[in-house]
Amino acid sequence: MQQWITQFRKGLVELCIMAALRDDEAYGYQIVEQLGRVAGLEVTESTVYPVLARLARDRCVTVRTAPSPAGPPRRYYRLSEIGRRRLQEMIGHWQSIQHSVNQLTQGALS
Amino acid sequence: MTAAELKPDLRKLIDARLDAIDRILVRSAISWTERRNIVSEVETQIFELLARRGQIPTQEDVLAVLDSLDPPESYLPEELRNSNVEPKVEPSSQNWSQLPGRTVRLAGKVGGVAVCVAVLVVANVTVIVIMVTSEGVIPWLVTLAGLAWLNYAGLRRFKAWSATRQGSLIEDLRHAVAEWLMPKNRAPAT
Repeated sequence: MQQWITQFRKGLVELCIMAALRDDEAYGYQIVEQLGRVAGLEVTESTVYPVLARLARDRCVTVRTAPSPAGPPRRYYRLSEIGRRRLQEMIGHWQSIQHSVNQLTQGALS
Repeated sequence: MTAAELKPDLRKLIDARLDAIDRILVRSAISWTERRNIVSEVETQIFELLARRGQIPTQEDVLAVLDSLDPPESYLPEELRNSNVEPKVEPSSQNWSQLPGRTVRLAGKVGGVAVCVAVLVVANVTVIVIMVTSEGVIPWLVTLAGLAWLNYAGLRRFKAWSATRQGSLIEDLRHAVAEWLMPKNRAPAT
């Protein structure tokens, strides 16, 4: 994959992970599968797990473990209040950038 | 299926992959807590994928699952991936503290006592040799009394000096050398 695509997606992963947790909690691999299905994003575990660990460190998500029928316990992530605030900021920033970039690219296309 | 039910040789394959990821994460200077979380997530994912393949995983199942995962190198941040930068090893005073404390204390005590006994024996033997080579009873008695007093006074002083010290001879020496070699760290070598 081209370097610029990797860089482009990198910044969006955190936003997408937090957005995936907006409505309900989810365990690590569940998030990987969910985001892996998003066209164009196609993130894998080596991207998602470090971001989840960082979000937990920053207290943007809370973590609880629960037994899994498959083996080791699952770690369920839930967006905290801090995380919700950050997600709102990120969405606002994203929309602002999206709007500006749209204007620029439309100008370039026309 | 649980982790405990997995055959030991298959478990080793999984552990090897988890170790490899952990080593890569160490290179990227991620904290221990984050590393543990990341590696735990990968482990859980492996077992999720194995469970989907059937009740009793075979070696082929494990290899296929491991093959489907991202390579350990992909956990390395982009900026480190194409460089041969090795993790920075900070000079540490911990090397001194890695010596087994109990052994050091014991060696210190034994060494200290041995040195004292040797000094005492040499001094006494020297005086006795002088006495034997001299003639007359009076010089003998005077020298013997002097020797007894010296031993008594010496032992009292040694006892008083020992009571004021914090550790053994070797420990004190270790502290002194550690401070001399690494004056900035000033870490206690315990």
